[in-house]
Amino acid sequence: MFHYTIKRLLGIIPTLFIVSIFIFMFVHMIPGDPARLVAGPDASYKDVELVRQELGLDQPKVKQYFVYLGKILQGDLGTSMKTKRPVFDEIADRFMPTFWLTIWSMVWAIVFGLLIGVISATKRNKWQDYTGMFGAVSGISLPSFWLGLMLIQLFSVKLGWFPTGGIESWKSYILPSVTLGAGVAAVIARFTRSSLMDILREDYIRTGRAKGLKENVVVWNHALKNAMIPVITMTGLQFGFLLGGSIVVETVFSWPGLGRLLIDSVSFRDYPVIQAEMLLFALEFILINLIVDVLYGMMNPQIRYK
Amino acid sequence: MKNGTVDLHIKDGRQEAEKVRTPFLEFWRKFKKQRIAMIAAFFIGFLFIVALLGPFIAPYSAVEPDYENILSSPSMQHLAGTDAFGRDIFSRIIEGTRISLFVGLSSVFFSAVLGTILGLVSGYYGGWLDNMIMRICDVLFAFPGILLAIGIIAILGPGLGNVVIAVAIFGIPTFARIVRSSTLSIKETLYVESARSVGASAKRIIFKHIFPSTLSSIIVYFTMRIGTAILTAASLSFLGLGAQPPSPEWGAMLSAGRDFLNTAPHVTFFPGLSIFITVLAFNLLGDGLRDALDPKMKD
Amino acid sequence: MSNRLLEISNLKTYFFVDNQQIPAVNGVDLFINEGETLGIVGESGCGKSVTSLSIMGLLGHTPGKVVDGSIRFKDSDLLTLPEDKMRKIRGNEIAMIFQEPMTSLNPVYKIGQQIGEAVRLHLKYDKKKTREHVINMLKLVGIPRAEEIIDEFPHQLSGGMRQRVMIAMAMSCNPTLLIADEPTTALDVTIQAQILEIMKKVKQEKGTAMMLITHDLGVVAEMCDRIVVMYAGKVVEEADVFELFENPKHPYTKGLLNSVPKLGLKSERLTSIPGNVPTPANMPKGCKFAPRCIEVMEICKTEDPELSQISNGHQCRCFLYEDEFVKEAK
Repeated sequence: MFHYTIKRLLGIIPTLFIVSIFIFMFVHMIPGDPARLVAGPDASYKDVELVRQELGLDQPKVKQYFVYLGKILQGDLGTSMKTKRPVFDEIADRFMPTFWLTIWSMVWAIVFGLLIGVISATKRNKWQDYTGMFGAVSGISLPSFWLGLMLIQLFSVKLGWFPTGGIESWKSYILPSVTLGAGVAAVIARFTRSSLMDILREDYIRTGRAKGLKENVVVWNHALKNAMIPVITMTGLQFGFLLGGSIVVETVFSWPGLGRLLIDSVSFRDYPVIQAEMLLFALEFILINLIVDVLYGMMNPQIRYK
Repeated sequence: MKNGTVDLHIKDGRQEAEKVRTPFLEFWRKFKKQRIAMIAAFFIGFLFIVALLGPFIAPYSAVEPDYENILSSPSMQHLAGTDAFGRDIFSRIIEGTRISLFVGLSSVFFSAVLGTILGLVSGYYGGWLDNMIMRICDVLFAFPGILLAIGIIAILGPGLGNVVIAVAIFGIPTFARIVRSSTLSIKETLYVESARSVGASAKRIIFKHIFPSTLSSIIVYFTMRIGTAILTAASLSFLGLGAQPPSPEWGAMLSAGRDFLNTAPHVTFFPGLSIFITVLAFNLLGDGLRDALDPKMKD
Repeated sequence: MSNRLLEISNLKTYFFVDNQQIPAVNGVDLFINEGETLGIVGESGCGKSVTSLSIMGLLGHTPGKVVDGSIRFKDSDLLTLPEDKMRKIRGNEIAMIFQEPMTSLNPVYKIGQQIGEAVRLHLKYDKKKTREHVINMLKLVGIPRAEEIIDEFPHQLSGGMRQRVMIAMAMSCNPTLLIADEPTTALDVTIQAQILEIMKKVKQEKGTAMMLITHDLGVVAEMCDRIVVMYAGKVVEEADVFELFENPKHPYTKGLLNSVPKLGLKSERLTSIPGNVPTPANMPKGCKFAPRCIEVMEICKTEDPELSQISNGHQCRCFLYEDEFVKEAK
């Protein structure tokens, strides 16, 4: 298991390397002169040249990349063009709200997704299955911003149960996390259903029933434990979807998180912040996939005992 | 003499083999059994008609303001009410259909063409080329879809055309992977081997033999992807990165209606509902096609 | 007549697929006495396995359904027994071994957990006693290092070892009837012999009755007291093992016996039965075996013969023996 983890850990290094090149190139793909961009449209020619030297933009690209990489590794992500603060600080302020939002969304998504998936699989082709699966395909098709706005309209404006946006108390988390989790819950439900249905056809499930086990025990212990192995992998991939979805949901709920920061930065053309955010999102995504891989190994005895 | 778990020799297809069926008839036989997917297909057909006829069937102009009728609730005159400029929301939704379908279809078409070529090349030739293409796909996969699109728009600038490009790019790797994996499995089958042995060129083998076999996966994924593409494009417009007001793009309409959520919720409700139903129809059709064409394919 | 343990009468199990009904088991009568080993023989598709699943009440997850008949086990009819009572019989009174040892064990549970689960459920042993019992069962089926294997996962064991585990699991609650559905088919020949030996030993030790489903007549000859031959969902012949091998009556049974090589008779050519088991869609009108039968007569093509007694304990379903049938059977 230890070796497996180490192997996975080493495996992400090439991906990280290429991702960093991509993100480095990002700024250079923007049409126009990056030095002029940083200095601003009103800056004099001399100022622009000064900025160019300061940022090392006059150096060869390869050298620039390694300077950039070195800075990232030291936690230096540049300076925000909008606030003139270090990008690192900007992001650090916004990190926790987004973190908790995604965690809570994932909790909902897993609880409801699994429940619906298991019920649909065990009540195959009955009304529970049809309802569950129609709900799931609807969940996948729902625009999260619309769902969010409708929830606000109903629960905040009409009923006054929850705040309309921002973070005030624990109540603030409910609507955004439900909005963000709905799509993922739907994906988990569909995947759990098909995975569990495959498992329920396995010979060892028949063995369990032949032992005289209750159907509940067969489904929830014997089948689900096997079905969870692919479900966990897929759920991990959905974290990426959550990170992406948080951008939209944070805009709907005026959430002081990374997603809103990104949108603000895009409209302000605050490239250092955009660059850092993309790096951070990619890093998180890769890290989550790594954790999922390790979890997968832990769940699967065939890998665990090698 | 292996006899599985149950002596169930019903599906050995003896009766079915008696009638020779073309692949299309076989597909049609399975597909028409799925009533929900059929309804979805009809609905999508209807949407295309609406998109084509657009301005001819819309009861009001989609862009002309009418300051007499600002934010009026749904009524017989204005089925979905009017927006902050007094424009008929129902008419704007009809006009928006064209935009959404265009964005969805064109972006997925680009993804499919490029992804399929990459997947075919990658799967057929293998080696360093395969390695390189798949590495790049890995990197694109390292970004959550919409983030990649936002990054691309950050470079290209906001606008509907750039949304199409952004959404198209982030769809490429998935097509490439799907096509690559079916290419790999088909490549080894006998008929390709035999085609190669009679001296067919690589180009011929790829396009005459491998590509048609991957077509069913491509069609299924294409359909499913359209829903996602419409949804993503609408999200980007909602975020202010796509279509700009006064365009009757559904996401942009919704965004514009946010300010009146307290007083006129219908301004956000109907455009959102349109997105939802359209995406739902494509997803249901995709599910149906998958069950009929490619049952092994998972979500 | 010794004590009847299980008696199946007129069992009909149909499969419902695509609005068609397919009779997989079509009026089977058979019985098993206490401590006896009954062999059920036939080609694949003849309804052997469906019969066993009907007994176990495990058809609920297949398109199959029992439409007629009764299955008496001890004092109750298994077909009308409520599910919770049935669960107390499954794995406890009637246990089953399946064909595929490689896939019949749950990959994410340890061997000990999988056997112990049934023990704790039916015998209500505590944790410590369960573990002891499981180790004893593993030793009984000849598993070396039982104390270690109990904490291993299925993928760490070979096919033969897994089938031993399956036997240990099936026997762990001292069932009165063991149903073994092709227990050795998936195994190497050398392992097959070992597994049969173990089954024989365990059965003798515990006095369990056994229903052995197989297509392998060698296995039947070695293990069984009595044999039922099935064809196309029906019993076509039934006799004790010596009678059947010495004096087979039904042309299908004869065909089966002729397709097995015999020691000593070197030059004799092996014959095979021409044709295949008919599919439900083109089931012949009269005797189901008529199209493949070398002794077929005119009547066979239009009428289906009854299962009738030829001599004491020997029944056959064939028009060839009309004259020999004992009129007042039973």
